[in-house]
Amino acid sequence: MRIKVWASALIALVLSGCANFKAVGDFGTETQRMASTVHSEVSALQSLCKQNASFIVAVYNVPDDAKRHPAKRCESYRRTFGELAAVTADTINDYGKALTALANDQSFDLSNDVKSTTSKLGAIKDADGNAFVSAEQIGVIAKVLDLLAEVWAKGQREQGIKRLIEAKPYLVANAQIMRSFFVTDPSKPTALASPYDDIVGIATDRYKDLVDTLNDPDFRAKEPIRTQELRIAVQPIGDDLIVRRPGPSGMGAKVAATIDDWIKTLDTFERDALKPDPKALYEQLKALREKVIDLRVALR
Amino acid sequence: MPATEAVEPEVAVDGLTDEALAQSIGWLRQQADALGKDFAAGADVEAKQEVRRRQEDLRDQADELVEKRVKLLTASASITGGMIKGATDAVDDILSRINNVKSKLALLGKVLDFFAVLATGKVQPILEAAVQLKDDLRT
Repeated sequence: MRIKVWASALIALVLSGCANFKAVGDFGTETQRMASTVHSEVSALQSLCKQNASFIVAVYNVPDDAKRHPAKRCESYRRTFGELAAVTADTINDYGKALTALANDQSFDLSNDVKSTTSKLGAIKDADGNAFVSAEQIGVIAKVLDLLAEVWAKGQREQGIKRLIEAKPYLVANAQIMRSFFVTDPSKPTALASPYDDIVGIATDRYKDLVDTLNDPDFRAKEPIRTQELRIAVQPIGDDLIVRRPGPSGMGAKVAATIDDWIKTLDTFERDALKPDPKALYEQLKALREKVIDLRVALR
Repeated sequence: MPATEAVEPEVAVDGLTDEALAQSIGWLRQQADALGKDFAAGADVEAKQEVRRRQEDLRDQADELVEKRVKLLTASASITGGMIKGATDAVDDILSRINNVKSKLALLGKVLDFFAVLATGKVQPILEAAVQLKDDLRT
């Protein structure tokens, strides 16, 4: 009788105010996608640096032992970008992973473990072959233990989600720093270019000079076939730079807009994550997903 | 003295303010562009390549300052990044706790297996089960 009362109370506990782990998982997935998109764009900058450098070395006849060798800068960029990514995009990606891990029902399902253990009680029999615990008793014990485990696991998951929600102010600040890599920080003088715009701007200056050099009459006269081939070979760099030029249609602005949308979704996540049916969060997640997909297509 | 060493602005390197760095980057880019006239006036390919290399040196200095700007961002983000890591580490602890419970349940099952053999009162199987349990508890 007592066991039945406990069981009823536990069932009531389990069913009351259950968090929507699917929404948590979806937000985790979108968070990882956003971070991965930022990573892709930073990798694209490194790739542009390397491509420019290889042409500069060849066309300007840069010696291997030059103090400021273009390839060295690209390597240095790789390290510097890596350090920034480690404390921004990678950290936010880990946050997304933590959310998806908490949303994974299988990780928190202890039912099979409980069943497997309690079923072993049935095998305990005395010398005459009589079971110490009846099948019916084992069933009740298993149910109670299962419910206890479920309540405990649910508590652990919600504790994890609450802990991640508590980190929201740091996430917003972190995402805003990541954003200020791509576009001008609104709190700073508007004339100040973002680091991203500087990088693209310098790469564009380089590209223009490369093209001018390859079109220069002296260079063309000296090596007509080679300059013609190189003019064709450098063209993709120009295409990549055009889509990254500063301005609202540039890639930096698009990445920043995606970060902004993610920050807005974070607001809704904070409010709705532990609600049973977070409609607003689902709607924002849908919009964010579409934006990230558009950006990924643009980055290709 | 090479032109590239003469033009390096001290304020951006020593001051390390983002605004000063950004302004210096713009200035270095302008200096590099200004050398475009020397390129046009170059006598031959070699002379023009020399001008381009000087322009590249200036742009490389600008790149170096951009890296300093990025490092300033990294320094700012490392504080908030650390706080976020604290939260994700807490989730890792929770996942470890769950796995720990699963391991303990599995171990309890093995103890029950031993009791099942113990209850039979048969000496040889009990000894074998005891050895098995000892091994299970070790792993």
